[in-house]
Amino acid sequence: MITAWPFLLFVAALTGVYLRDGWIRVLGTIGLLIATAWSLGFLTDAATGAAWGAGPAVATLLVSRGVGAGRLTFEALTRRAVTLAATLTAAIFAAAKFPVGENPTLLSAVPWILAAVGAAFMISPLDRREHTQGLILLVGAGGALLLAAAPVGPLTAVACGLMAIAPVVAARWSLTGRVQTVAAGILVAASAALVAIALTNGPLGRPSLEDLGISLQGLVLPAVALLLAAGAVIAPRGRPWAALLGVVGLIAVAPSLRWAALAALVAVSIDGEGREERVAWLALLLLGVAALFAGLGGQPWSARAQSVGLAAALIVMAMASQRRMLRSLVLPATAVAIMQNVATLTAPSLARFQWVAAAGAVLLVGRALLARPGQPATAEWMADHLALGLLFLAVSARDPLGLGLLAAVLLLVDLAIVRSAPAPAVLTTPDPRGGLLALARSAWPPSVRFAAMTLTVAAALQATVGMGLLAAALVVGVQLAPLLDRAPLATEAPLPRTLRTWLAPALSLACGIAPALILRMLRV
Amino acid sequence: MPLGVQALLPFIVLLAAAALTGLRPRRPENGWIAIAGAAGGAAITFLELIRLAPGERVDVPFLTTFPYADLAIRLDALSLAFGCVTLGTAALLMLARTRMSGDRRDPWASWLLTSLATLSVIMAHNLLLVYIALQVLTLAWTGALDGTARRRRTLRLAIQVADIGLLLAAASAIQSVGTSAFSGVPSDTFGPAAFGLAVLPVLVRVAALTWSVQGALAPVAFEPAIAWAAPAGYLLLRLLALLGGHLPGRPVEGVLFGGALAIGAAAALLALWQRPGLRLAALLLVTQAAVGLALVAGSAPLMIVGSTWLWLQLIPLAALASVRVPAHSAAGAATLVSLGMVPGSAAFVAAFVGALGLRDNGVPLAVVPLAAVVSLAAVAALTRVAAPDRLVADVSTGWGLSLLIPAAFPILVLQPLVLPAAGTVRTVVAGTLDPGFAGFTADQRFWPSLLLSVLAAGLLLIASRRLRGRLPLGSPGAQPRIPRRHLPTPAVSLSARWVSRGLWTAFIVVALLAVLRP
Repeated sequence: MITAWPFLLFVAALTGVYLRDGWIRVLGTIGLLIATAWSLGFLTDAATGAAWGAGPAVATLLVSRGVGAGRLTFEALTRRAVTLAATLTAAIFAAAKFPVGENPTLLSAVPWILAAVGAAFMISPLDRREHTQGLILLVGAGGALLLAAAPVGPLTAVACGLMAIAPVVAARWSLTGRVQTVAAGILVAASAALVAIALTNGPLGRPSLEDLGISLQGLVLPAVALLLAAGAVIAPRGRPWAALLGVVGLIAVAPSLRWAALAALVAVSIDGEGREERVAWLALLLLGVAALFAGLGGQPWSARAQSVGLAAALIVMAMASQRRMLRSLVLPATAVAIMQNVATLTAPSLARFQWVAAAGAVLLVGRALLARPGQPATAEWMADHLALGLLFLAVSARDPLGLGLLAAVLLLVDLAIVRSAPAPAVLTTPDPRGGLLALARSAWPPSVRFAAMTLTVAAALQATVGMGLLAAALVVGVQLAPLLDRAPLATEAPLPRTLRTWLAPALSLACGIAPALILRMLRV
Repeated sequence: MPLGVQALLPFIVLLAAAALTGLRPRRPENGWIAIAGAAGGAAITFLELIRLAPGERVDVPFLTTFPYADLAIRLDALSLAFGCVTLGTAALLMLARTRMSGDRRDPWASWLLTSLATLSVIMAHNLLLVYIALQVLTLAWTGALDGTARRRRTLRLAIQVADIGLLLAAASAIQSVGTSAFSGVPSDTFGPAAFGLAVLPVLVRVAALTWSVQGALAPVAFEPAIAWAAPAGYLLLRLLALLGGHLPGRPVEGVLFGGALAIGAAAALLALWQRPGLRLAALLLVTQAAVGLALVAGSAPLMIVGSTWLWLQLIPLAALASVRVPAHSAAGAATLVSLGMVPGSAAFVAAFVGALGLRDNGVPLAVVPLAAVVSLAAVAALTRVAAPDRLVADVSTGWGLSLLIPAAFPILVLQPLVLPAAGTVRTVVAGTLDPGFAGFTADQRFWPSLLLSVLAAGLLLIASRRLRGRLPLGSPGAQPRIPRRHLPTPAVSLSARWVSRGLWTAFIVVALLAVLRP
């Protein structure tokens, strides 16, 4: 009977949250978190539960709404009710399908229901603060679920919980002016230092502090350098520090902390609610479910579902990543996290991953073709979607030479950094440096996009002939894309001569000229 | 001098000249700097070629990047012969350009960079590097950094897309044997499909020669010879060398021979209705290239020698055809004679050598269609040749007449260039073709090329005096009408939304299959 108390507390707190306003609502939300921490305490140990609960609770207090929100219209009420009912139904179904060991379903369902409430807040919020609260609950609940599935220890639980504070910080503070420039400089310097370490040092170990383990092996170090450089490029958006969340998501060993950090990154990367945000969270859901399959799935089809879930997460995240922050930070972090998982897949699971990746590439390009006339979101709409399709193939082509891995990293450099940097008005100025910038952004050699495309074809052909031909078809598409995009290379004003302006083109040319250095860093 | 520096010397010379002309634009001496750069590069490659022992190959690695694609230079007779002829032709084109007025553009740096890119294609050590160099070459001659640039966009995109065939072939070699290096790929690596993909860039570049008519405004067009003909010929022969000198299977040989001759015949037939000018020259160039392509279909050494010679002479010939010359000039007449494979021209002798090889290849009857194509081209050229009003001593005239000299004295090109290059493609046993002073010995028979050239020149002179105005088969400008067919507009327009739903459904089905399939 004692195991039902967290559930009962949760129901009571949820009632308070939905029926009352002001401080009672805040207390109700804290009650939801206490119930989840209590449940987590039963599922793992008390210290872990308590340690996890601290972060979301602090975040909830920071976002507190002590005043009433006013009366809702009938439509808004209906929408909120339907959303909550739908997410609760899905959560209860999932909780029944993924029992944590021999524990009663009522106990293990609590984190799922917390996630459902967070999703309902995010999808149909009353206002901006409730939306942020929804993000906090989602980040926290996801971390709690994975902590229950793969118990680690209190320190990791604290870190998981702290990730929930990120959405509040992003909503309240942003860097401006000189601080922003300094932050970008620090990120660039850190990125350069990591590149130097990756090039010179031998394999790095897996240091850990108590139960909090990190890994800097293989792909991780260059990927972290990439994220930091991307953080510097998107510094004008005011949140260069968001790159650090991605870094945590990549270096953490515990799946719970990795997922929570990625979720926090998604939460801070999107301004305002919308379709993109929901799609990004759907990708995170798929990623989390794939991790759950690895931790809890005892069914014969668990491994199959895990590989399909990973591929689907990558595809859905690519669909969501249309804006600068998502493309620069979230896409590379998610893709690298998935690449780390792909490295551990068995051969049959990898084949399933490749099917879904190839189908996803076709789907993405097809959607881009259909959406193109009415959605000139970027000047290189088709080319970017084709490059994303190539990314799927590169990630799925796990070859002994490491070509797929290298191609995927190069494509991420291209999509995350080179395409995110503003294009200079090279065609309207006689400045010869404009030609260099244009070359860096083009698909000609020695740009990073050209190198990545070439290697993707070679890598995909190593996997299967069909994938190789599909990759070649996508490369043909990239060559022909300017005919479809029909946008000039650059339309913006000339850029200031800052380090950041030159970072993206310099990186593009360096990676395009010497991709072997990246391969060396990857230690394939 | 270290081998690495020797291998890089032509590149350094070209790059230095390009830097000099690029940094100081619109200087009158830039033309001479460019000529010196290209001629210097040609001289260096020629010196390297004659220093090379028979059958010797040198791989000069500079950077070991991947096991399958080192950054390295391949020095063998094939690459050096093509490099030498290409750079020499580039120098001649630049010389011709300096002697012309009316064009105020300053093309020197761009031309030098294009030559440099072509040399990179020719000297590349592996297939992947060749693909990259081909892309650089396309960028160099188009200058189209912006993908939306309209200048020759269709041609550029066609070439770029066709080059992906070579990339696939390189990737297939990497997948099969772990490398795409010329020295590491066994001769049985490529099957018919991979060969078909690899030969795509060659076919598109041959087709591109017909585009040369669009550059009619410029007094000298650089691309047809340097950016299209030279890489096409080199790539074809290099692929054949990779295959050990014979194509993958008899059916492929048959298809290539028949297809190439059909293209050649079609181009020659179209040429019959053309006025003298760039379009006629382009069609005759395509005919010659098609004959060169057909000759590689056989594995007989004489066919390889004939094809190599044809491709090597096609580079300066395509360049000469891209230089604007006055009507009724000696340069124009000499160009047409060479283009038409008229007896007495180098192209004719090369085709003749190739035809001798057809008997060795076991298909003596195949000489009939080959002869028919050559005859068609000759008729198309001869009916347009006009005797020059007067002999003017200029670059084009000297160039045109000097292209006829190897037909009379084949030893001049066979010994230093053609035989070593052909020997790289396929072993040419001593005695297969022995060049002498006034002819050559093949199949244990002496063929007096000097005598043939003198006879041909005499007959041409007489015919041009006697038959002027009587010969053209069709009235000038009467082109065959090819009805244009407009594709019908699809009657059913698919709703984008439904197509999108269909795509999603297909994706979900694939994902479900991936989960459910045991």
